[in-house]
Amino acid sequence: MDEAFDPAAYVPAAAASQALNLDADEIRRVTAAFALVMRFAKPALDWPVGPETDPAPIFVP
Amino acid sequence: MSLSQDTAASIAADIQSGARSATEVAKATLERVRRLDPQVNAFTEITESRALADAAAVDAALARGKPVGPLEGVPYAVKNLFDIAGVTTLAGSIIERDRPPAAADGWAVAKLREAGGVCIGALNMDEYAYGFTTENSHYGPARNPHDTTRSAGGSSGGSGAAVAAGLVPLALGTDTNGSIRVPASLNGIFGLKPTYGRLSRAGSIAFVPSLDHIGPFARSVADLAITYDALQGRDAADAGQTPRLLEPVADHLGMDIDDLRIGRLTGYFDAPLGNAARTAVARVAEALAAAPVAAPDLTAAARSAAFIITAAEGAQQHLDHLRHRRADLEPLSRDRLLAGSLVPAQWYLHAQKVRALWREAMAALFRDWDVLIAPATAVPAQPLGQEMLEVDGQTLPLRPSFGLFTQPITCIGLPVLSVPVQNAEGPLPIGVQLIAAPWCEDSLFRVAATLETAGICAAPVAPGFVE
Repeated sequence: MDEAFDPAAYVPAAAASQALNLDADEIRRVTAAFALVMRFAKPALDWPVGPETDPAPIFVP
Repeated sequence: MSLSQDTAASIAADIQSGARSATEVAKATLERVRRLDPQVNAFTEITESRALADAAAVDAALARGKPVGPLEGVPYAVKNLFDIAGVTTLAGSIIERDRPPAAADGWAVAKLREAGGVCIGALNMDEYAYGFTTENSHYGPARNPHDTTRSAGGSSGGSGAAVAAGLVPLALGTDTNGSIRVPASLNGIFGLKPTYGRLSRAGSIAFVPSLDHIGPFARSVADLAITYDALQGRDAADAGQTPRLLEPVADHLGMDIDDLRIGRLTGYFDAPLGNAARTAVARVAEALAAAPVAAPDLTAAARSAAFIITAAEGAQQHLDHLRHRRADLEPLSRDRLLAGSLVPAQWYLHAQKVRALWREAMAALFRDWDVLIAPATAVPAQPLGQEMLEVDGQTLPLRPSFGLFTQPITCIGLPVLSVPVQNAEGPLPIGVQLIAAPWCEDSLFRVAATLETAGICAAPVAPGFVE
């Protein structure tokens, strides 16, 4: 995960781009929720993957 | 034994022999549900007229000398994200209340009806299946029959509570990250999450399409097997279903397990665990003479990948709701959905790559092992409303932590049967996961039946609900 990633800057910008129209209180709460997503996402995002690994969006076990 | 403790198999046998009629069973079940459900809040709708009609059809067929199916007259109920003809499918939300009643039964409900089952009603759940505690603000929390101050787990909490309280012998749920296995564990019953793509999900409201599974709950392995067998079949309406021949398991239950190589996953799956979970895993492992097997290094990354995929796909399912009706969304999940809608595509694709690596790592493990054992939950049922979990010296956010040991497995669609261990520590039950390679549900059933026969695993009706 990019250590420079700043949820406080990212959340309002990304929410606006999605036409979510969040008010200030919602921005605060969603930023906190997004920080939790970042925490849980870190082990996956820190796992090295290369271009040789195909993602599996259509999943067959 | 009273109806509440009867197995589905014994009810069907009684009805087939004429000892009881399907209508008698349906009426007694409806009476019990009305009287006792307020204690656990498992049902969001009781389908009385449907139940009596299903039962009358079974009785009429039997009167004509025509066998109906393996679930002849057996009452069951389904998580309220499955379509039941004539009933509005809620998925735990108030937004869905605006939709018209379902025009037809979903695939699974139709299959159970075809097998002779009698639909008693729809069951409580976390809104849109996004949760592990069924603390539903719209319909109230599902309560654990073993201690009604505690959670029944989620998101199929109503399904777990209804079966554990002996309101119905069978129920259907769905599992995206653990939503069958967590309630099976906390309510002390058997639960099956089959291989991804095995059972059709058509006629149910999706949460995370690339992770969603449907499956049954029961209080005996035989009942679970009969139900699972009845649910199999090709359905072109589910694009996620993999074409497979029918692979029934009910006839495999008496087979020994000497040919199976059984291991206990260590490393990631060793902690954090409460004493009950540790004891339950040890009991099951000892009974099966399971050898320790090191979990692949990327297990934590796999769980994390499942979290990212869930956040992104789940939010996409509800983007319109997030834009236009978010005040009507469950407060416990609304901000999480909003955050999920903002997950960068780069993260999602990275998670999909981790998922591919994880699948390769587990496939390598299954070249040497047939069944792997792991805890289902770190702790037994916790009090409703609790926010944090203290376990093994760690303080964790409670709700997501229930997926700690189930999420890595669903991430790659492996089949899992959660078996219940009673009195591992204290009066609350807890579950253990039996995990197999894709399409090897038969091995899981053989192992679960062996554990049940040996008395290691059992799913009695919760003591306060025995009559």
